[in-house]
Amino acid sequence: MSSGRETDSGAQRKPHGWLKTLWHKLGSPRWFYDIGGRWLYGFGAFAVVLLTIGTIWGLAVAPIDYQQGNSYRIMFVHVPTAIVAQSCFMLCGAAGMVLLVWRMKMADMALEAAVPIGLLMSALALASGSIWGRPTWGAWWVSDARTVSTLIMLFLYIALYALRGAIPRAEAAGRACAVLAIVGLVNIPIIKYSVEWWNTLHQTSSFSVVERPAMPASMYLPLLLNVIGFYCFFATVLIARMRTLVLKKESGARWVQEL
Amino acid sequence: MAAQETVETFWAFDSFSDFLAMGNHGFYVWLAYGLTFLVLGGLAWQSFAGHARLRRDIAAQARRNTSSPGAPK
Repeated sequence: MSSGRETDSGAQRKPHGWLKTLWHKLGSPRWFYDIGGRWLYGFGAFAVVLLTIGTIWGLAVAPIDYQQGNSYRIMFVHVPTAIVAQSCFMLCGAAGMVLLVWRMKMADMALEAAVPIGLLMSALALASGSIWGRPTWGAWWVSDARTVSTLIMLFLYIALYALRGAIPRAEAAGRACAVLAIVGLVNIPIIKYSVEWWNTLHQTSSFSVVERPAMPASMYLPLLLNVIGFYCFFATVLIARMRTLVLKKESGARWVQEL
Repeated sequence: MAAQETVETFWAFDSFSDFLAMGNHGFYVWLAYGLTFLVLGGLAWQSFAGHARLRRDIAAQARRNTSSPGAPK
C-alpha cells in the first residue's frame, strides 16, 4: 500500500497543470508546514482584531433587545461557536472522504486536528445557549430538535476523539474516524433544518452571511464580525495543530531534523 | 415610554456600572462570555505550546544524533 502514500517528491514531480500541482502540494506535509507557518499569522491577526471589535460592539454598543433585554448579547458568542462547530464537522466529513478515496496523509491530520476544536466549539455553543436559556426560557435545558441534534454533534465529536485513542494502529484509527465522520454528516442537515422541520422552542435563524438579515445592522454587523472572527480563530488553531501533527508524524524525516 | 428623556449616545449604557449590571442579566452575560473566551484562550495556548514543545524535543534529539560519534549524517 506504500504506492498510495504521499511523499515530498510529490511536490517536485513534473507538473501537469496548476491544479494537479496544487493537489500534490496539498498532499505534501512539508509544503503545508512551511506555508501554514505563514498563514497562521494572517488568520491569527484577523481573529484577534475581528473578535475584539465584534465583542466590544456586541457587548457595549449594540442596542438592547426590546424583548429579551441584555441576555440577547450572548448571541454574539453563541451563534459563531454553533456555526463553526457545524462547519468543522463538515470539514471532518470531507477530510474523511479524501482520506478514504485518495489516502492523503494531510486529510488524516486535518481530521485529527479538527476534532478537539469542534468538540470544544459545540460544547461552548451548548453552554452559552444553556446560560441564555435560563433567563429567557426559564430553564437551563429544554429538549427540542435543535438542542438535541447539537448535543448529538457533541457526542459524535467525543466519539471521534475517543475512537482515535482507542485504536493503536494509526492507519486503522484514521480510517475508522473517517467512516464515523462521514456517517455523522447525516446529523448536519438535521441541526440546520431542525428549527424548520419541527416545532422547536429554539427560534429560527435570523442570521445569514449571504442574505439580508432579519435584524437591524447595529446587531447584525457585530455578529457578522464575530462569525468571521471565530472562523479565523478556527483556521489559526487548526493550522497550528496540523503543523504539530506533521512534525510528529514526519519526525524521522531529514527536513524536520534540519528545522 | 420613559418619563425622562435619555440622550442617544454611541454606547448602549449610560455608565460603566450599568454596563457591568447588564440590566438584571449581568450574571448570565458575563458567565457566557467568560466561559467562551477562557476556552478559546486555553485552546489557542494548548495548540501553540504543543507545537513549541515538540520543536524543542526534535531539536534536542537532532543534537544528540549529531554529537554522538559515528552517527549517520
